[in-house]
Amino acid sequence: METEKQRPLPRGVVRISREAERKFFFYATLVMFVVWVVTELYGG
Amino acid sequence: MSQAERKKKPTGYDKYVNWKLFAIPLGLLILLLAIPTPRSMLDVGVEYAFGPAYVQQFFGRELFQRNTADLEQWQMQAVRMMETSLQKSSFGKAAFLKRGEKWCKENNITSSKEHLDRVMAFVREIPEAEFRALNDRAFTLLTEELSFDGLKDTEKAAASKAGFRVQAAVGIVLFVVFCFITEAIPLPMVAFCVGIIALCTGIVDRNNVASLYWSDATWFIMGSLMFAAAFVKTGVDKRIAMMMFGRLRNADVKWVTLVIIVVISPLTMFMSDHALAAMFLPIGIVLYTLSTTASGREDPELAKMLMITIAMACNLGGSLAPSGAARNIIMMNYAEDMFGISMGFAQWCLYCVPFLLFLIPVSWVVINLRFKPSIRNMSSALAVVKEEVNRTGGRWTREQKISLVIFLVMLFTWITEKNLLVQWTGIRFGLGALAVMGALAYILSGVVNWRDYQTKVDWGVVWLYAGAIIFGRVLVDTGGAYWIARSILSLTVPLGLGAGLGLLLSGNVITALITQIMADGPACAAVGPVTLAMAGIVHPGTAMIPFTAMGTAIASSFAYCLVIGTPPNAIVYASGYLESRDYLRVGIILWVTNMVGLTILASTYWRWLGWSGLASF
Repeated sequence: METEKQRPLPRGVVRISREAERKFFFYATLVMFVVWVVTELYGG
Repeated sequence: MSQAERKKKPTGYDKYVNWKLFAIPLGLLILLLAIPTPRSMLDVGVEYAFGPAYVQQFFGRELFQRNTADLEQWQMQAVRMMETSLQKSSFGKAAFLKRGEKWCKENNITSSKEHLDRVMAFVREIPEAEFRALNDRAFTLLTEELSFDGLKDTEKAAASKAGFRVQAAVGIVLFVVFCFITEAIPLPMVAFCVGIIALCTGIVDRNNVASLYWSDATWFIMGSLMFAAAFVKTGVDKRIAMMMFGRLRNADVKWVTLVIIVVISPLTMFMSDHALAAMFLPIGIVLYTLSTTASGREDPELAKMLMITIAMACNLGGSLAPSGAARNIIMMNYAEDMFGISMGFAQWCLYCVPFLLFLIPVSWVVINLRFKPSIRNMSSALAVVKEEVNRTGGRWTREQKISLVIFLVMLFTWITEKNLLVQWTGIRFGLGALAVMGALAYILSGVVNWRDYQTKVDWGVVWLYAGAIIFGRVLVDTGGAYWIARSILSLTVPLGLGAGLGLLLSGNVITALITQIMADGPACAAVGPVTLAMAGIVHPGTAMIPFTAMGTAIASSFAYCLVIGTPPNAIVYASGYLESRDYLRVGIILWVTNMVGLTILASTYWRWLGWSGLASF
């Protein structure tokens, strides 16, 4: 993992670590759950 | 990527966004949305937007000599029931007379017992031939006479919008398939994109997006990944691994993969493939991690091989017994509904189970040919597992026992949720809610805590499959899947694949292509009426009809090539060891071999058996 972080990436390529990805989608799941509850309760 | 770089990257641990590569599918999508809507898509749009209203109007005038606006309630119910039957390509009077209130409810038709009785009494009076002729004329109206040019100017704007929705759905297919093959952005991000594109193109409205992401299947994947995390934490995965591989004298990876396939694939005939994938995922991970610990080096190829073996094994048996998947029941219902052909459980098994004798060795050989791990002997890994299991004196710990009991209770509820559980509780929970309840039970029993779920569950995979669900809905609701099926069919008929085994093959090919991009149940629901209707037109009253039903169900399980094709593919992706191209490495070959195998099965074994009461074709 360490060696991978030090390796320069080509232009236009962005690295997202596994931990960052998991954290992002974990919170995205919570947000979507809240949005779902709100739209179910108050949506048109 | 060079060989050296490939070796450095343990694959899947980190994700990359390649903006240059991502510009290609994005550009393709924008281009496709910008061009004028092709005529064939407009026609499908017209069929979807105006078909139901025109057909109802037709039935109203023919049966009651009135416009739909002037019909009485029971007459409106009759008209709606006939139109819905037509949508399902069910033209027969006998099938119509079997409809009940449950059927009406499933198809969103307002019904009451009194009205339903009047409808049935009215239809009984119509002679069989007249009923059939009426449906044939309505079908011709829908598929041939109803076209964009024939609409009034006021209707053309709405038809153009419906055509554009088909165009957008096909654009999303191109976008998703390109992103999945190249991994230009992390795959779960593609799920985000599908919802956003569907919203921006007007396919879904803002009130429905969130609920589309929160389907039962999404809950199931979330819950099953949670209990996989509990298995890993308590060490139950190691115990199951010992039960499976402990007696293996030669622990070469080829025999380990054979055991995985031989154990999993027959189970998929009776158990949910999702559940099996979730159950075997931690076992695959523990085998890999202990192999690398024992040998002191990483071998991504071994990880890929084990994960792909689990996914493919879960995809093999589901269609061989009716209990294996909902798609089988869908096809059985279609055959009965459209042609009055009843297919029993044992009958289905008699025709389909022998196919497993072909699938198991072929899948095993292909996987072993395509993956060449450098760590081949797994005996040291199994020795470590044995040592860890024996550390507790060989006895099950309290946490392990709780873990297993909760899992067994969940398994029981999954198996019985459709019948026994409904009888007991009066509630249909669905697999997803039960899986999340199980995950909650793990927390309440103290086996895991919330932090374990947050860090050990691959939440991206939950999104990935949520995206697959919304994608499938988009394809079905807009008519995109229907347009794709029709387009492929129009290409195969001039190749001489319009009759006999050729027709069976082309139907299977269409299904097996569409199932790559959407879940197998919806794929069957969307393509089944098309393939069965073709079989009924070309070979009416022959064994071709049940063969097509079984062929379509089996072909829908050939979702080997993309991670979104089926839940087991998505679940093993959560291991973090796989790249999307790994599915293609074995998927393309398996797709071809199994398609050939299915055709041979139909042309030899099925033909030899024939079908009781039906002529050969």
